[in-house]
Amino acid sequence: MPVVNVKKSSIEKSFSHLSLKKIIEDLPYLGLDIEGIDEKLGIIRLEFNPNRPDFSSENGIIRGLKGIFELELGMPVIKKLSRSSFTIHVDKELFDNRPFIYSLAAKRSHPLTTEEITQLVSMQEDLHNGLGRKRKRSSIGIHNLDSLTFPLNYVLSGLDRKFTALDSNKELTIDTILKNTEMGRKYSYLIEGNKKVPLLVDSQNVVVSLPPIINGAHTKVNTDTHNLFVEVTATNSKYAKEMLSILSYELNDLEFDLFSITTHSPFEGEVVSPDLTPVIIEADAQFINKLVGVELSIQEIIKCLEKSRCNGSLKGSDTIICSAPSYRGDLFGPQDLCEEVLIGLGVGNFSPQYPSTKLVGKKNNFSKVFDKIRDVMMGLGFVEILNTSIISEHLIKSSLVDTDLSKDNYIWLQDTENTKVEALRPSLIPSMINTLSVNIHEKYPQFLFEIGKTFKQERNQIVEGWSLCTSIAHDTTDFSEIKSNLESLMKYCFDISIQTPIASKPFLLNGHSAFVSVNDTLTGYVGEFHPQVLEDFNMRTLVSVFEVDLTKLMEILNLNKNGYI
Amino acid sequence: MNQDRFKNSSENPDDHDFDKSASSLHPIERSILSVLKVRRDWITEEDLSRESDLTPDQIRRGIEWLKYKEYIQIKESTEVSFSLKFNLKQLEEYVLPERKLVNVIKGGKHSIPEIIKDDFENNSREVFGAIRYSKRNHWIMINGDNISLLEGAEKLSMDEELLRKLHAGKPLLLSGLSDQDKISFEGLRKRPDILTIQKITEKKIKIVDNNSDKIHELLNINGKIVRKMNKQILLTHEWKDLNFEQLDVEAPLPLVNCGRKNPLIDFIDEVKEILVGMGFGEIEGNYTQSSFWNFDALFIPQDHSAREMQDTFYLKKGSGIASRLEREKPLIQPITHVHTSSWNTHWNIEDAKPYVLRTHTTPVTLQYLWENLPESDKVFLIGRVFRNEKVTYKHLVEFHQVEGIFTNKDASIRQLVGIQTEFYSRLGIKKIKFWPTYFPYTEPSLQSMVYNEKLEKWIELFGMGVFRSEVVKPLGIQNPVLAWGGGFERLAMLRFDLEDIRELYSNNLKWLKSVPRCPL
Repeated sequence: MPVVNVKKSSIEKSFSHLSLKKIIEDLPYLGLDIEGIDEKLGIIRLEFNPNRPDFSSENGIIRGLKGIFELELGMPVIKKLSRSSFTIHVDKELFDNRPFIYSLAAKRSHPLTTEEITQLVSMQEDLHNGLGRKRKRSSIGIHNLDSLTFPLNYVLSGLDRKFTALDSNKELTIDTILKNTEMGRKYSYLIEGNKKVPLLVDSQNVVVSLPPIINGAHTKVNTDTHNLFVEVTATNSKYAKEMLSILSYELNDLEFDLFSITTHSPFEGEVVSPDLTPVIIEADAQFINKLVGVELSIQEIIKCLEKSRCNGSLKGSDTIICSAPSYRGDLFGPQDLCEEVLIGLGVGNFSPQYPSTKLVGKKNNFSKVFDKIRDVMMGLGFVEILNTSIISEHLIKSSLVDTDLSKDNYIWLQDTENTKVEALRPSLIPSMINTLSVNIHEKYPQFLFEIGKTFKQERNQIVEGWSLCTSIAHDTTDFSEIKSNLESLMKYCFDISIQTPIASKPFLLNGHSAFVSVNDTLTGYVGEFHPQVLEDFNMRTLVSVFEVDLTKLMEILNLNKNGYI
Repeated sequence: MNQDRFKNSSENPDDHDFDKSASSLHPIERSILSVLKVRRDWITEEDLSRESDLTPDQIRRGIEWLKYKEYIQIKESTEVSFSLKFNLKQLEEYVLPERKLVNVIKGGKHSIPEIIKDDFENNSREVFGAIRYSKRNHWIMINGDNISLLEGAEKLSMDEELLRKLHAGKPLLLSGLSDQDKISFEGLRKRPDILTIQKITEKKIKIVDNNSDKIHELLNINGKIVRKMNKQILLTHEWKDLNFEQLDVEAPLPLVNCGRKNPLIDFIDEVKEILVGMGFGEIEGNYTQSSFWNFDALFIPQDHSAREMQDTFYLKKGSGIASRLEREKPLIQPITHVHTSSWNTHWNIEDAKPYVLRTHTTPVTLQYLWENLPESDKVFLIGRVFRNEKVTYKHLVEFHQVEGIFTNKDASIRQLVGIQTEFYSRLGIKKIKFWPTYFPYTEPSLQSMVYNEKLEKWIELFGMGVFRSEVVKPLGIQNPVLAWGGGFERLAMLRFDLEDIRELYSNNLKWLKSVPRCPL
């Protein structure tokens, strides 16, 4: 989860009537996790949830807190938003590329401070990563308004066009910027393969930005900058609007006057941005009360919404109309209002209620049967082990459960950076011999068993089945000992006898291995481990083993029925 | 403790003859007395152990019993043992400063200041010490600043003789030294960093002469005592004429092998029991799930970062595994609608087909809801989930999740908090806090924090919420569905006092056997 730094002094300044301790205690009730507090720098590090990108700045968090502590109720107010004559023209060639651009201008009498620039950059990064899906969906450029001349043109440009990128002093071609600069290499995959890329230029043909990669050096913002131009480009208009809304409220909090800009788009027509039209959601008060489990009056519900920085009004006798700031793209329907009410109410402020509905619980059939098998195995003196379903190709190979892995009956995982050639285990045998080999310094005899899932592929379908694997390790274990244990399990657990026709398996000693057959169906094998396997796993004693397909066994024995009588 | 044992027995009226009874001799006592009877003189514990073939521990216990019965007497003496310091013993030869001085002079140097500077690193104290000892040994004579050797400087001093013995062999005992060596020892012990000196307390044992007749008698009734009862003795009535040896009934014995359930499975069962007791029915499902059920049906947008390969394991498509989503056909239209309208983006069915290892147990719950369309129900599952993460002391790639749902026409957040509170209380957790949080598929969403008395801190446990209507409506579910869940191993770590989560799957037999079935 993203983290935002909030200065204690800023909180104290905004909430002079409340103790800092109380506010810090209540931060989690707004959905913020305290990641840490740096006493030396006087900074609280807060994690915010991805559904609330408006919490990506200190101002955003204070805006939320002001509602909870009733310093300001209802929708936050934009102090000044006027229309400007600035325009942006969008080239129709951008249709398949990054077609949306929305922007605003912001003016202030005093220049930006270093701290404000740092905060804006950090907020921009969080918005890029979350809402912008690492800039793929939408991205922001913040520029010095006074350095450019309108109208701007949003066009598609060839890769040979040259300009000076931010924090560089050389003109380079776009191709070089993409291949040879840090930002270029990091984000060029987003426009890879395109012969042309989106470019925002001003009326003098000066490059403003190469979205979503990097801004031009010409419009760089510094501590002399009073007036800002903010643009958001996107592949998805919803998130571009949301991003620009968040920035509008942020700049409003930073005491900028906002000015709208008109985009002439061949796809959308004439669009004035920022679009701060509230998100409107309707919900019945009864629905909210029922789902939250409370009995609030209409007025109380509206008050809760206001504490969550939304407005509420009544329509008819029971319907509440909620208006939320335009950046609340996380609100979809009535259910979302319940959370706003819950936060306004304070999750800590209502008592739990255990439902009186009577329902009868029970374990499922697998659990019941496995419990019995475990009981018998324990009675026979075995210790239960537990291994992972994901195992390496190497382990399958060296345990000789299959000497031909090229066949299609394994389920392999896609390789990723941290994992290489791994599969879902086709049998519990490989992990069993591996477990024995990590325990060679423990006391013998060792009696082990595991119940786990195995995976194979049959006609392009994945088959998951439960399996039981049992091993005995000591200097004189042999076929008779393991088979006797297998027969005891089957007798004591299910009162059945098994047949053991001769089998030949690469991991078992020839002549000392057999299939396990129940009611004439093969369900596993039993035998002594092949000395090659023992050697490969550094075993210095003998091991006998059996594995039984429990899913199949339960089918054969008709154990899938419920009930006892 | 052993004394108490005897005291109690002799107070028992049936045993008033105790100390005269042949059976009062334990085999250990018998062995010790046999040796002592022959020896007659004082003997060390060490020698006794060797001659009786008993372990030092058996000797220790045996002499304690015998002392109490006043068959033996014990005398303790202190002895000084000394050896060359370990680092000196490692050297091929240890040269005392006075010998070093002699060697330097032999090499042709005679000026004291020069010797101090060149050969003793300006350590004049050491040189003057060396001169003092050399003079005592009559090795040198001094004239002004000049030293010259006397005849006999080659001869080893007494100190050197002693050191040579120490260098060659074991530690020496002070009491075993000749008078001359004793003087050397006293001298050397005053010089720093040469000797390691240890005080040894030695116990010597001797038979009590006054009781030798009785002991003799005790040792001689061999014929009438047997060590063990057996079937023959029972059937022939022989037991009536026999005495039985006193066993060391207090000695601990090796443990018997015991089969046992895996501790994690055992704890999962205990939690299942709690949930069944709270009216939840157990469900089960596949570890492999289509992206459709793992993500799309849960309202997770197709460009969400959780779907990336660095977070989720995808199954290799090469061999043709991908869900055809045939069974899910009726759901495609409503899911497409929900995604398109909410995320303002195209929903691609192809992205829903690849199989993943389930990243949570929720797809199983969801399919249960879809298949059963319950109006009122409580179900749970505890099963494995997979995350493509780096394994650390607190993260595993494969772990268990516990998840439960309650659906009913009146189900509410307050009830969800109520169910959690009850569940935690049955686990023994009383201090709980709930905070709002975010999950893509529940709204409102809460997380719970519980206070752990052992760690003395708040720990984040399960997340919960009401399934979004975007999730349940397409499945045909009308009533609210309350859902909660989270990682199970976190609870297990608290249960078993583990600091490293990997230990749960290490299959270390020592650990598996050491976890008690019923931890206190």
